[in-house]
Amino acid sequence: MTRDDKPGPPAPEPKARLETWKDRFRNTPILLKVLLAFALVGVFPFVVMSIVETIRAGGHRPEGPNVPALLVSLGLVMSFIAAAFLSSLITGPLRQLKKQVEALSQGARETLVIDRHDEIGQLAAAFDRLLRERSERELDLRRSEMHLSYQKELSERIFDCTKALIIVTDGHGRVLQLNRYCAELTGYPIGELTDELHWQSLIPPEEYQLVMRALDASSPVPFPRQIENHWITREGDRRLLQFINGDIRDEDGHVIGIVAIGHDITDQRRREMDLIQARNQAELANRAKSQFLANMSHELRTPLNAIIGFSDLAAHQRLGDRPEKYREYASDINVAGRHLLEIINDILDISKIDLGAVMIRESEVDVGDIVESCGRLVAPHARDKKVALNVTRPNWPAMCWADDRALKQILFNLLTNAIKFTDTGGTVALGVEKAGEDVGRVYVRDTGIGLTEEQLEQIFQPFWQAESTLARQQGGTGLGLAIVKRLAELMTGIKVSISSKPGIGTEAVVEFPILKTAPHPRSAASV
Amino acid sequence: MAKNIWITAVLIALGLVLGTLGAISVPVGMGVTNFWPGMLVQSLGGIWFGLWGGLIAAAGFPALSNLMIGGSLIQVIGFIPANAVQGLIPCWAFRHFGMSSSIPGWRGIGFFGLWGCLLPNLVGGILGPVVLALTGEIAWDAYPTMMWSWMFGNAVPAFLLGVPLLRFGSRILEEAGLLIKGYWR
Repeated sequence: MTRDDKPGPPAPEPKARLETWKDRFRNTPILLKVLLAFALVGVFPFVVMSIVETIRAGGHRPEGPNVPALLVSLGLVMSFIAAAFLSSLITGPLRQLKKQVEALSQGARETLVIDRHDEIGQLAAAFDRLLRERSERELDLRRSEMHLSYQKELSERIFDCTKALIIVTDGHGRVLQLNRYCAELTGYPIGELTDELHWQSLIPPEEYQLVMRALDASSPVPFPRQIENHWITREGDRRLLQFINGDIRDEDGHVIGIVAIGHDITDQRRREMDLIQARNQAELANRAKSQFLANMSHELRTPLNAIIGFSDLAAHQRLGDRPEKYREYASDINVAGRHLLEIINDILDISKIDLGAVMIRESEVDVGDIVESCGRLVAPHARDKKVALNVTRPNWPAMCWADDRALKQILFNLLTNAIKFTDTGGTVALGVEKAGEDVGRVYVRDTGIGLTEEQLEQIFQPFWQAESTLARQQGGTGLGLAIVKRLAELMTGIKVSISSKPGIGTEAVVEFPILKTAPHPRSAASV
Repeated sequence: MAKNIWITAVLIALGLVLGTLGAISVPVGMGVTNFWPGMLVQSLGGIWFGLWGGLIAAAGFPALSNLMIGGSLIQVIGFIPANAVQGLIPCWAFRHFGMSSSIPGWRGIGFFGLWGCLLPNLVGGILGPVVLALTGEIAWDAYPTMMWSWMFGNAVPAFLLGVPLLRFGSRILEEAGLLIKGYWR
């Protein structure tokens, strides 16, 4: 028990105010007061007369009828009856009113009905109007409260169930409230998200000031403010969000808070980028196809023109009897025909690959043999162009599991390309080296025109050539590298890559897994 | 208690006035009259105020009234039983049968007519003149006249004036908290 709890002397009872006669009379029921008033006015004279008559006639035996006494006594009683009647008449409605008001307070009645038109009736009617108005106001208030409650519930539901980020801040960017989706998106509890320090780690540092400016009520930027920024989730994902910040104003129009409604547009933006990329690729492909058609028309027409022209000369012996010249024309016709065949073969090859009609038969292959073979195949071409061709056979067993025909075509195409785009006097090197313990690589290096970064990205696109003019000069379909890439993809473990520097040269590399043990006894894998 | 004494005193005073006036207005003789509104005080006093009105006031004021009109000791003392009975019967009947003092409906008026007017005054009319005859104040030949005068002289004004007073007055007294619903409280 504390000192305060110790029982002290009892506090003196407040003195009840003594009720005076005046108070008593004032608190006497109206009924009695009215009755007294009537009694004083109506009964008192009769009482006086009665006493006077009693004194006058009393004291001796009455002998005959006494009319005054009879009348006075009758008058006395009648005055009592009249007083009672009038009192009842006046106070009856008051009692009725009192009962109805009591019933009203207990909810048993809804209206006050006093069937009189005097002051009491008017009072009751006024009360009734007052009560009706109050009842209507209460009803309106109740309706408003219900509506408000519904709106509140609805807002809370929307706030919590919507798949949009809703953040309410004060005018200084301090988070006051945020919805459940914010927590779902970031993986942090809502309690942590309202913490300012945590908020700083949620937004990337380079974007923090931008976000704060958008949430600053004093900033001159008009509302609604649109902003895109990132949030870093608990898992470390960067999500791109788009917010529209609206202002909350008080009655005087001052901004007292900001509501920010945001959407996660990461996937949407990614899809947009993919679409743009796809569109760009489609445009490139379209351009390449147009280029191809232009090239083809030239490439196919050129040998055909040569064939037709030379064959016409030979057939009609337009140069007279000059057999050596006609033999030369026949040779030219042969070269043009072969070139035409080469072009047609390329088109057919890539078409077959695209249709899945190329059969890949993998087996144990000696890469050194293939390198040597390809070197021999392109040597005349290099010699004709006066390009030095250095072929280096590996001094280690460069065995791999591949389709020898496809691998040979890959190397042949790479070599042909290298010679084609290397000027006279340049060098093309072909060789095999180890890229690791289990990986070997065949390289084709040239000192040709080289390729830019952008060109390297598109180099494996069909019908694409680095330099249209040069390509036209050199001939070709632009399908060689596309065929290389597709054939490499069809084989197990074969990878082709190209690196280049404009004006310096290009290196094409074919990586292959070195086969050390005896291969599996499978004869072929088909695609 | 003080309230009850006050009520009794007022009743005695009122009864004294009404009884005296009634006794001198249409006298038959020997304190008996053909119109005695004092019966109102006896009947209604018993109904409203229990034995305070139905016994003390009912028996008390007639004695004073008889003194006022110069009645003999026989009249003053001898009429006390008859007057007491006239107050007691209505007091008992209304409480015993549970009749409201507002005498609602014709049943209430009939009940008051029988138990508040007719029967008490029949008994009072029998008892009062008997005392006079026994003491030789009147001859036995005059007894019936005296008895009927007593009875109707009391019952008629009690009924005529009592019905409206009970109808209007009961509610007022009840509202004012002055009714004594038991015999003494």
